[in-house]
Amino acid sequence: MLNASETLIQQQSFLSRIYQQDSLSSSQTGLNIYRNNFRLTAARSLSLTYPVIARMIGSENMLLLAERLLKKEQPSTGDWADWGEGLPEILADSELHAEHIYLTDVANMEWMRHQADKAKSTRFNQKTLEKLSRKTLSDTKFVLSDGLNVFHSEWPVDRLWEAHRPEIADPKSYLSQERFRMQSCYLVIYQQNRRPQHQLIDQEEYHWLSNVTQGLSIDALIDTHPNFDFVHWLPRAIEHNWLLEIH
Amino acid sequence: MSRTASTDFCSRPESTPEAITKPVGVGLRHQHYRDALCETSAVDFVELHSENFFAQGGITRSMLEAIAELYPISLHGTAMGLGSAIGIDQGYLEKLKHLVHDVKPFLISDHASFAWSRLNNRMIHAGDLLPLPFTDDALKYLINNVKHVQDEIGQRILVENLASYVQFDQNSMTETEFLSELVSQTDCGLLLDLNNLLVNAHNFPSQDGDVTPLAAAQQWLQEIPETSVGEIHLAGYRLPANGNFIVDDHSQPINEECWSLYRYALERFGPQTTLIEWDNNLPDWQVLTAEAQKARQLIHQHSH
Amino acid sequence: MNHKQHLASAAIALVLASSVIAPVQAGGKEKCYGISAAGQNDCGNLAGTHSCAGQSTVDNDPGEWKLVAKGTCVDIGGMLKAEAKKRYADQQSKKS
Repeated sequence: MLNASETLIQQQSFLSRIYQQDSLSSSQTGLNIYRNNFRLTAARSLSLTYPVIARMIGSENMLLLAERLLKKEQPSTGDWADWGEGLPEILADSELHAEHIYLTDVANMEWMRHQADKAKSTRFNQKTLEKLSRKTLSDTKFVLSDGLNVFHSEWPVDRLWEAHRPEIADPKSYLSQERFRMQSCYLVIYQQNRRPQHQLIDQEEYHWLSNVTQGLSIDALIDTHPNFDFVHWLPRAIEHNWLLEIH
Repeated sequence: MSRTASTDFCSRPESTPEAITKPVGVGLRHQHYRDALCETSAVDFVELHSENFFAQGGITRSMLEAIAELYPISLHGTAMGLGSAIGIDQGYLEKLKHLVHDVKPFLISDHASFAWSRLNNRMIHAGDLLPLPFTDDALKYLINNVKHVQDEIGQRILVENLASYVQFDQNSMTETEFLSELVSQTDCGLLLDLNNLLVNAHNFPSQDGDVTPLAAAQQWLQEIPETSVGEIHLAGYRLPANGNFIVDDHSQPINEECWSLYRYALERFGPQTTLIEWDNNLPDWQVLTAEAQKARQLIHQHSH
Repeated sequence: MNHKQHLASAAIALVLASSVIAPVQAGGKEKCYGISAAGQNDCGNLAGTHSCAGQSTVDNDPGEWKLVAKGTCVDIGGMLKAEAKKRYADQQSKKS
């Protein structure tokens, strides 16, 4: 009679040998096929989640970043699209950071776009608009659409992103034409028409939206942002699919 | 799922899959979405990788909805890890159940491999199709997991034979004994990947030097119960440098050896639902569907 | 009506007047068909294909590799640095 946990132990040991990154050789043993496949699949997946970073630094660097990330964050869901959240941190710890400090923020923005891409596709529930007519708004909240995030960077990550779209053949000259400026940016990242989108917003709207994501009541929002043009914001928020409902 | 047909986007002739004894399909990858939506007459069904559609929304999801309106769908998993001794992650199964509910696939399949395990005390996914030893113990886990999955999704599944790059010393039975026992214990079907059989036969040649890889694969088919087959996969691989393993990369047309084994399989099992898998170095849609047409002709030749 | 209620009813009125409705989600005839991103599970754990790995092997111990900036990363890094210097210089000249 076999030990009941024999297969369990065997599988754990097989997996850890695939993860082991030392003593790799070019000899194509069966195990090396699994090892290479695992690392290259991870790098490919990371390049799909972070296409701008991949274009900026190239595929060899992506492979190395994937290697480093695998040590900190292991796939755990069976869907590679779920893996890779830790890349900005890996970039911040990398030797590229000193010279290319903005890469971390580009990665942050791309992860948020990736989340918006996968989020549930919804539309604003028009019926809940009437909840704004309540006598007191201290229990009334805006519920934002799934996958929406706000983001602030000291770097012009939106321009960098734009310059690295697939249809831009030469990002460098595109940025020169655009009279590239080192300016900070505030963004809202969301899904509209089933696509991830982002839009530049100003600092005030950024803080407003941050407070909305934190779940502040409409009453508190107006108190916190007395000068914010909430009246004109609402139709815009609905139009861009930022709002799911009023609760 | 709503039925707003995309006929205003692309006109297409009506297809008549009824005339064919068994459906022939292709693995559908993103490069061919547009073609598939415009030229539906070319194939009887498409096979999709389940995990690519686990997101709750977004454009991929709407693509899926459009495709599901036009084709019967086979959901082919790449990550279920049916042989995982630790069991299958429930979160994964929930996503699969949702997908099955939405898409209503006529086939659901995955592999006789493991993927879930523990590393440094954490449950992780191996991101690959890792091989199982052919032992009673490994079989026990595979049987339990297949039963569990069939109960959860309420549908029979097909289990595919693996291309493996290692062989285990502790094997106590053959692969065909292993899979036959799985079928008899769980009532699942087998997805016969003929290319995987040949890749294994080339990478691990028979001790008896007179047995060709093709003959070894034919023998393998002889040992499988006649009624257990639910689908056949056909694919091609790139020839490796001398002395290296063949890697089953699905990057080439189906080679003559594989067609030959396919004819043999049709003789043995009768016409079977058949799928062309091409995943790397993808050709034009026309080239891909021509491979399906070739399989269809062979099915016709064997359907009487 | 207090100030907040005024604002809220003005907002409702504006939404209704501008007939803003939630955007229609892409339906069956979406023109962007065919440009969906590559599936992230088409490789590696894909049906045993090992398509990404192919025959490629990486000989070196990855622990010894270093990231080397290349491509647009270098160009843009340079531009950013130039801009940073310029901005710094601008600030300094305003102060004086």
